[in-house]
Amino acid sequence: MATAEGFIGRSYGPTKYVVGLEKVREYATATKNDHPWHHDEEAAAEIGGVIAPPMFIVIPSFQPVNDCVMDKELEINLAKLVHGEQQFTFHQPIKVGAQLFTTGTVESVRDKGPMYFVKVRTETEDQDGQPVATGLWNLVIRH
Amino acid sequence: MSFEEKQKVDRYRAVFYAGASGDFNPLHIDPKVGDKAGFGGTILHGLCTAAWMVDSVTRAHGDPRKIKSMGCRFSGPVRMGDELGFTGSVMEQAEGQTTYSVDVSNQDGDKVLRKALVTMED
Repeated sequence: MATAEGFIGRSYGPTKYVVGLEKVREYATATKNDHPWHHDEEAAAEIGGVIAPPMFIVIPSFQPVNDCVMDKELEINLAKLVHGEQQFTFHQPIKVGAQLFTTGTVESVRDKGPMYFVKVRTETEDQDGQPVATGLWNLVIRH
Repeated sequence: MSFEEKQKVDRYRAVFYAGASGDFNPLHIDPKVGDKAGFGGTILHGLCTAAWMVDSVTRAHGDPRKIKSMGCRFSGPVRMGDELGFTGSVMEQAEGQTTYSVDVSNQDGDKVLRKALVTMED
């Protein structure tokens, strides 16, 4: 990545992701989360239906981040890329059946000696344009 | 208000997480690739550890809809066979929200997440 600063503000997406019941169950099982609201439609009826665990948001919101790291113009060497930090703000639960649209924007690029840091902000909205989550992905790439 | 729980990283946990998340980076599923990278086998997805960190707060305090924000730094590899401890304590309470600081360490006391924070609505 030679002219890093030129990429600040570049955005990717919106990518579309439809939240499926079995995907939520699979994710909850993989993360050993047995809360009935993530598995059982009857138990979740009291809250309006099955919802995903909060960190399920990484699946839909990773799509534009992936588009960013694969952007050939950024010349990111995937073999030297690690995930440094992650933050999310959750605006509403992730409901089964929701259509999620995520836009990723390069927020900052900092060169620090042997490494550089790329921060990507993701904004995820539902089909009604209501905010679902905001993510900050800090990627670390060794030169 | 403080809490503690453990998670055993069973042999196939990274395979489960890869399938569920779609992150099939070979570092997580191919022991040869993990060996070559110097980890002595596969390592778990950092976002799986982060999910456990957030869920540990939900399990201690109830409603997953009340989780308002999270943050963490990935500071060390998690290997299959590790046992992770999640120890939470209240860092701040204000305006109807409580922020928990969660210590996430393996069986040797190495911190695998740093600056791990979860804010929950009261």
